[in-house]
Amino acid sequence: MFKEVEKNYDKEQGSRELERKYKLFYEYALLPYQSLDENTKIIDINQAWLDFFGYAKEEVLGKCFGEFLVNKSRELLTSRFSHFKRVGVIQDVEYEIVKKNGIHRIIWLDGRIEYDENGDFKQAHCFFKDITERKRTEEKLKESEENFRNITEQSFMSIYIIQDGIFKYRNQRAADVSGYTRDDIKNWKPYEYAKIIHPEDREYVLEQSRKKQEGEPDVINHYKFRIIKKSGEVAWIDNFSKTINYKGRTADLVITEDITDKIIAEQKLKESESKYRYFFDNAQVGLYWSRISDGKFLECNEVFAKLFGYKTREELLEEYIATEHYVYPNQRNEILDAIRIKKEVRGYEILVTKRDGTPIWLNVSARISEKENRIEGAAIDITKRKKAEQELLESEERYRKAYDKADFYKDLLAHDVSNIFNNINASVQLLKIWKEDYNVSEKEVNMIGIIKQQLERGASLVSNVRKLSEIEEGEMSVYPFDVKEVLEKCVDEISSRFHERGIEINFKANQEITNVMGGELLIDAFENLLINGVIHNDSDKARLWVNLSKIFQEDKKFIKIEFKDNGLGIIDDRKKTIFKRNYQKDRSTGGMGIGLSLVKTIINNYGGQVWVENRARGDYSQGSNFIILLKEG
Amino acid sequence: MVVDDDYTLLKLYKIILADMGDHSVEISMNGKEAVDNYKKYSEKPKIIIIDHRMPVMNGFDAMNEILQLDGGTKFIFASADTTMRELSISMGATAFLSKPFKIEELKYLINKAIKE
Repeated sequence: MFKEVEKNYDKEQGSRELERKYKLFYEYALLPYQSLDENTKIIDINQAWLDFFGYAKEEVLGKCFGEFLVNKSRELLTSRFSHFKRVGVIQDVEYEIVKKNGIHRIIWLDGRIEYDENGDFKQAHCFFKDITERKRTEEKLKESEENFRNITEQSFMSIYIIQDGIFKYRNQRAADVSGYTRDDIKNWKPYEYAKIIHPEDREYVLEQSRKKQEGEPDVINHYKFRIIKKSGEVAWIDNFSKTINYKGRTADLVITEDITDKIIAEQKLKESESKYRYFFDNAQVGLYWSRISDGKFLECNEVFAKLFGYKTREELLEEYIATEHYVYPNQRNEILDAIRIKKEVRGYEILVTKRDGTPIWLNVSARISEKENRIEGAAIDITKRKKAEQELLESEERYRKAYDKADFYKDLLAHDVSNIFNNINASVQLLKIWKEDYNVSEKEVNMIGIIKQQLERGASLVSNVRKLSEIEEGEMSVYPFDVKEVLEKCVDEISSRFHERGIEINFKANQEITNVMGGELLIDAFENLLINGVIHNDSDKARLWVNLSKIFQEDKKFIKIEFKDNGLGIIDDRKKTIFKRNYQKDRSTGGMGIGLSLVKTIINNYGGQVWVENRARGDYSQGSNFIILLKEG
Repeated sequence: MVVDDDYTLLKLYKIILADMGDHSVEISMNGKEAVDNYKKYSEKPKIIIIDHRMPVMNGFDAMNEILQLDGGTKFIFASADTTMRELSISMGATAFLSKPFKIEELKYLINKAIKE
């Protein structure tokens, strides 16, 4: 404003005229004007000054200007005025004044010193303007900017303002994400930031940024792109940006978020879902989701659909309502209760019907997802297994009945038939006792002998059957057993029993031998072999030889017991099978087979071996040699 | 007394025992009948030959009840099941007769029981 006055001064001639014009200028100036002496006392003021302060002219003239200032400004006035007088001019000097009504205002004061002809201070001419509102606006702006910075600096989002291809502002996070320091970024040339944008995204991102910086329409405010960090790593950035007015010109305000972790997680989830889908679709068991409330299937694989007789999963999902297909409706409640309590069930077996009503047994494992109101489960068809189980039960039942029947017949044989034999035997014995009293012929005596012999065989058969049955039903205990003593008893028993038939048994035993690993049933085995030697014998006198010896086999000690006879003998082909249980053949041999089966069973159960050889090498007709090997006890 | 559910055997017992001398032989067809008859006899039998497997009451139970009556009777326990031998002796039988039996053996056991 002083420039204008001086301009006029140059144009005007004469100090009076100039002073008059100055006076007019001051008087009618719109801005408050004051003239101060060298002690800051007010010499003159204009109307605008009086209006501004609210005083009358007489209240002001002669007072120091400092009296209208707040203390702090008053102190500044003192120091500044000395400087002002020395340099002759001041500009935009800020003071806080107090109006007559007590209201404080901020002013900016411009001044120029007027000197006299000698160059000495004459007076100071000052204009000022009220900048209170501007000041407040500036403070608010400053405060706002401060808030903005506070917020942006603490933000987890990267925030920056780009104008003319340069980052005018960026928060710390923006620097952190890229790996470049604030100084790095500060020194970037216009659009140098393009180098951190992934080459595949660069053209698009730069175009969007340029458009926003220049305030062009038709921009995309939200998109994702990749950056290459200073370290070389690629990071995914979620970008929100828009055009703003920054310091009077358009700029691009950009807010970004590093979503690399999220993208990786999404990719993993996608891969996981893909894998899950693969397994779901290709699993060999039926997989399904069903709604808890009504049992409707929400999702399933093809295998599951086929379990129920559907060609496709879509058909099943459309049509099949599980609740309508439980053969036992309470099974659904049971399984649901179990799932609710345990959160999952495994191996639950349910019977449902297929699309066509055919029953199907399923083995179901399921868990509950209450959040999603659904059951997630797997099912396999166990119908065949259940049928097999049922058949097994029926088979067991049949077996049990057969066993009971067999047990009944065994009992019948062992007890009732035995009793019959006993009675016949007792009767025959009586006949023999009475033969002296009655005139019994030789033929009749022979017949009595045959009857008695057959009774012996029958009794032996019954006894063997019972023993075999007992061995098969229970376990045999094995313990050291005095074989010599037992054999002697057996020899005595058989000799006694067949005394009338004509029998001679030679028993030869090594004195060192006493025990074998065996048990009481050896008596039955020995007696069977001895009886066979007598019964299957056409010789007038049945001769038997029982030899007991010790042998080594594979460095182990065994007791060898030989039962030789002069009986009918056994042909070679028959030797291999004579111990085998074959009921057809056993029957044809008149009971010998079952006896030998018993012998083999007993000896094998005691860990021994039994076989038959010819008594005379190469001639079976000379009789047999039954050999038993038992471990030494 | 002889106790057996096989009537033929009972008859045979009677014949054999008659052949042995002037013995009085009573018969019973099962354990219960034997116990009941035994209680009725004023003169208790010296020997009872008893089978095990019989209807109504088996030989063991009958022997047990009769032995408790303390009549001084001796038991010959007869069975085709030789596993009964030790058990019957441990329960109080004087002897075990294995079926089918020899008449000589039966006579021997009876004579032995009488002498004891």
